Amino acid sequence: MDKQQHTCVLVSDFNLQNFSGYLTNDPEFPRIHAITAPFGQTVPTLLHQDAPCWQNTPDVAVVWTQPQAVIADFNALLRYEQVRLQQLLQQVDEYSALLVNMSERVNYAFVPSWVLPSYRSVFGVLDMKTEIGLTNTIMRMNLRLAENLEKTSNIYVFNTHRWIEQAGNHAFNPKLWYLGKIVFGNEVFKAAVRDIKAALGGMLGLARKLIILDLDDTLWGGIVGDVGWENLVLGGHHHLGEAYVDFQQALKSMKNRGILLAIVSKNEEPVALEAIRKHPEMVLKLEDFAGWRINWQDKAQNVVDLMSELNLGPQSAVFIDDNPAERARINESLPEVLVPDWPEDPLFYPSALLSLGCFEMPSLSQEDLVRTTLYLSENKRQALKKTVGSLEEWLSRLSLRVQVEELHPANLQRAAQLLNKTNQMNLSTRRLPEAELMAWAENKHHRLWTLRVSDKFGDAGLTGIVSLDIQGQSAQIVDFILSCRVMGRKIEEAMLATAINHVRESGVKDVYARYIRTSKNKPCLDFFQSLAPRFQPQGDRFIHDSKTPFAVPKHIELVQ
Amino acid sequence: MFPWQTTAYMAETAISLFIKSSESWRRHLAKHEEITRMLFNVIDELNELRPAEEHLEKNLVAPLTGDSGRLDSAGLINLIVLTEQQTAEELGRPILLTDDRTLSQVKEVFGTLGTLAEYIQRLLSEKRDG
Repeated sequence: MDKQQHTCVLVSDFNLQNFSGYLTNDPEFPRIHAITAPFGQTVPTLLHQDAPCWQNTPDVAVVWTQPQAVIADFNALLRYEQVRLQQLLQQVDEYSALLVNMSERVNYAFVPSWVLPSYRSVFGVLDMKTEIGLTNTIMRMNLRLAENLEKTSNIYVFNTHRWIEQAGNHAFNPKLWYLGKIVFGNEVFKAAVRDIKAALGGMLGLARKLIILDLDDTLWGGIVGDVGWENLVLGGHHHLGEAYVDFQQALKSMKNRGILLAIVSKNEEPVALEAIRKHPEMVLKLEDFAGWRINWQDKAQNVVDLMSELNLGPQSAVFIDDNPAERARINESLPEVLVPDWPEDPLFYPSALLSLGCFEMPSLSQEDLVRTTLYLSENKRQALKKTVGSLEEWLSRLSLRVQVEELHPANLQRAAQLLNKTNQMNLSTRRLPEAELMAWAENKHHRLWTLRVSDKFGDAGLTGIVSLDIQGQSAQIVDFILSCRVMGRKIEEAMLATAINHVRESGVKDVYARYIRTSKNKPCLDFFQSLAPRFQPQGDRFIHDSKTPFAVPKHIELVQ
Repeated sequence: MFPWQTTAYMAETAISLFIKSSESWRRHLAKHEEITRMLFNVIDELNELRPAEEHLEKNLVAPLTGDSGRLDSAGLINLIVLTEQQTAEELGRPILLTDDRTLSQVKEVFGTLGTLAEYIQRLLSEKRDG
């Protein structure tokens, strides 16, 4: 878990003291310490990097404004004066430029979209008319703002309407405004804190990657072993059947966003798999699952086995089961697995899943979209492993290919994602947003390579990063990161060979790796310890004499 | 009427008055308890906004405002808004805490949770009587 406290600057034209209170005192991770810039000073605060609020090198900024406070023509429109839409949108562009400029001072900037209290739409049917209606205009302004900020990789626009809906009648309270210049009710601020923390968690690599599902009365209604797959409650003209289908559709949409699905169920495997294959209303197909354990064993042991097969830690998983006893078992034995309280009524399953807020991802890469396919390829690899005698023989039959590339704009997004999400094979676990990573790699003393791994079963994509900081006669391996999907195939050694070859060519004498311990990166320590005598341990460092070459394993074709 | 009947009548009247007044006292106490419970919920809400070491106490005599109280002006606004909101929701009757009458005696009304509870009870009974 991320123990660090993140400093967050709040910039607004209205009083955000309540929001600041919730943000700072919420006990959930990541922990945030909020600093509130003087309210009503939005533009000067955004403009001046010397303002006191920016002096403590904050990680995060939230810039939350009322549209009439920062867009002059919208203020005129509120008085029902005539304004030209183009001119108003130009003011949105100018405001966007201020936000982009400010975003260079922080790692992540969050901008809640503009809203108006519902009592403002006094002209009813004219509300959606261009250049007259306030709602029409504010929708265009929000779209323009989102488009303008899309190009800046560390600014994220939140949909404030979602928070307003969650707060219901308590979203606005004129008393809060007139007594304290507080625009929103506290329920809006609480919803905002939940979303901002979920987003920040995703950016810091705390997002969950795997949903482990029970089958009977979870994925479908009924006990398949008792009633047979033909009589399960799933789809059809039945309110419960429809809810199960919607739940599966919600799961499928998550799978399409790169979240892995898996099954842990107490059942006869052939019976359960037959239901998945044959039931005509099953939205989820067998190929949508990265793995499964369907047997009568203890579910906690099955979850451990499954996560080991998928090379994921318990902090990556969410466990969904209708049975409270099974949930309690996992909660007790695997506390890092997220076990949400699950509604008794299946009609609430889809909304319970969609409101979990633990799958936030700052971006979607090609690898995310095909993640399940990558895991299924891994299953084939493991099947091959069982048929061959030694590890070397298995590796030699994989036809492994590693393509090495420098960091460039086309691979930056995925590289930053890998840097910020990988926990196990990670030497220093440093987290950087895209722009900072690029700036670091462009420094003349630094080199950073990305590695794409493929074999005869498929392309795992960009799954490795190795970087060097060269100062005089000494080179430090700063980042040494490999996705858990491709660990254990000696790609680690190909990464080291890439870095050490460069060091040798540059005539630098020593190369060392400094291991920074976290609760999750022991696999990285084990790997470096296994390299002795090629790398000599010395305290938290592993030192290699660059006079000695470091060979690429024979079974790997290294392409540069 | 015989003299012994007069005595019995007087005794009966006295008992009836006693029962009525103790019932009304019981009702008063029950309402006070209800208001206190509601105010403790408000304090729970307010404490979500505050660090643990600055949490407000859930007791009727701890000072809320004034020199020894923990509520600043923003805290008082939240207390007012949440109390109005929860009185309407939990006790089923709206009250107004931002009128001149209340705001002219902020120290007396919001001095402690106890004084606030008494004031809310008075407002609710005035509404009922009115």
